[in-house]
Amino acid sequence: MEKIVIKDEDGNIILKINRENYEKAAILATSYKFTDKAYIFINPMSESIVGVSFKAKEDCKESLSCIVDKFCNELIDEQLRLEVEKEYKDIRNELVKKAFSSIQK
Amino acid sequence: MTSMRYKLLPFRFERFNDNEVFISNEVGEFTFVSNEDFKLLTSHQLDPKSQTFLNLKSKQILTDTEIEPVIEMLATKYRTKKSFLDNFTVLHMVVPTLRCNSNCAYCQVSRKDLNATEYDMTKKTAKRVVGLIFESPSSIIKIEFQGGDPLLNFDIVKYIIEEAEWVNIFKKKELEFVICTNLTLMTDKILKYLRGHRVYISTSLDGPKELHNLNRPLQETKNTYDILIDKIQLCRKYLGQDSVSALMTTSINNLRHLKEVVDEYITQHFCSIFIRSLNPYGFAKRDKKYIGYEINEFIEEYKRVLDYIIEQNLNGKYLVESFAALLLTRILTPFSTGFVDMQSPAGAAISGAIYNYDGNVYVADEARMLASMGDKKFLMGNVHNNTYQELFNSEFVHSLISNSCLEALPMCASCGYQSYCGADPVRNYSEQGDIIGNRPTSELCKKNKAIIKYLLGLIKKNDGGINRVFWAWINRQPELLGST
Repeated sequence: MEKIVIKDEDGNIILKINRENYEKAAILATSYKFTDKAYIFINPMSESIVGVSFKAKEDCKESLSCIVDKFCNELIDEQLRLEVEKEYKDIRNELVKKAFSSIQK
Repeated sequence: MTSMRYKLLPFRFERFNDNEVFISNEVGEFTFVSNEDFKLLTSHQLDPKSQTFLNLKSKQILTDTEIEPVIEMLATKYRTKKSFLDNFTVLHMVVPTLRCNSNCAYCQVSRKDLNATEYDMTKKTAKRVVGLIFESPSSIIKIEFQGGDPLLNFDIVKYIIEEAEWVNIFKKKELEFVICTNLTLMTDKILKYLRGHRVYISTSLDGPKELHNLNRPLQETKNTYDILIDKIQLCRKYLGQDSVSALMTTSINNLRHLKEVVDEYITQHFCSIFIRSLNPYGFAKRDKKYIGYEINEFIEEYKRVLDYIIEQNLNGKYLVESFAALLLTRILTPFSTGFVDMQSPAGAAISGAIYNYDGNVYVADEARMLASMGDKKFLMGNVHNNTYQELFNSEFVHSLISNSCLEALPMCASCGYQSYCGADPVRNYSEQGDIIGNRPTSELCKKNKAIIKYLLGLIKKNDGGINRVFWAWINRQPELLGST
């Protein structure tokens, strides 16, 4: 089985993410959440794979591999947020529109 | 196989712990579900007869009935939650002078010396300020005198009060005055005047004698505590027991002694305390390495002292922790709670504005604090040069507000605690250099999230005693503490 986590010679970690499973918005949102812990670089590796590289921040007490593990779980949650939002997005828009309809008139 | 037996309604979620997920909807109703039930919920596999399903349905996180009435109901609740927007703008802070006789370690407004009368507001500026305040469409007007210490330019305070009362004969708004003062210059004569005009007093008490004197010495003496306590008694004699409220600021001096601060508030018969961390402005920002601390330290101390305050309440000593009370009202009730420093959209200009001694108008108190450090990023204009429309309906204000809606801010947009939180573009700018801010490194975000999560944990315990304390705080009714 192909490795999805690669460690380079400088100790940085590259996570290979399949675009079929995760949207760009989920990858960006998750990466943003971890910018306090690591320097994060996002690069397409192929048509189907996006590489997310992690370089430890000097003042971060957590190990890089622990950060990457947490990143993977958070990525699932971010993708899930997108999935459920697709279902209720129109309802939310309708709700807010109705709530402020008296102002619009 | 996915079956669409029910429809998901808008909700946000956070992993609360290893086993449970916290779910909240657009109007702040919430519940906790197990990881297993959460998987079932999002894959449309929840059993409609299960307790979890019925709970989520009652909280309007899902529905298996006609959608229109549900949207109607949610829209009504949403409008109620955001009804603080109806009153544009309620809080008008006025700085009659920047002069102050205090020498606080953390002064956030960069106070001026006692003889620096060039930092006093003139009558001409005061008249224009009052005129502009009453152009606000809000039916409620609260004028709060800030400083420096307003008592050092009390003639202008009196002028503004009387001018406002005169204008209000025609405007017929609900008018309220508050004066924020260290009280050291308070006299019987001033109190008689304040009584005649129903002015409330807000002062500062940072703890028992030693701690208070350390944080808030006067320029000519370190012993401000004794003077303050005497003056609080005097104010109560003239204006009544509940006429004076006090605020505290946490510096490194009292961070590890918050229980003693609470005891002092109880001893002095205050009904509320606001455990406030340092704000990154003025001397507090300049001298952070001497009087500041890590935000995580504050969070831990806050939790500890909150437990202590709850314990005191359970022992029959009624004392509200105001920040917790605000959050609990948002978490446990459908009511609207505007709080200029923590609402969405932000309260800057639309809920509160400040008129400096020189007529400059800023979107928030913190904005003029920044200006006193040389950065006028949040200057709306000047009362002598600009009309109300130019000040409050400017492109700048529009842009500031549209960039301070949590619903659209990075990370906040999907945060499960969003309904209880708020945006503070001035704080973001001061701490992080831009009004949007960077959430992963934001101290404010860290603090708010940690405290909200801690309160949710306490609610989740469903402890009869704690619940009584929380409802007594929300309703501001000590009798709800009941027997314990």
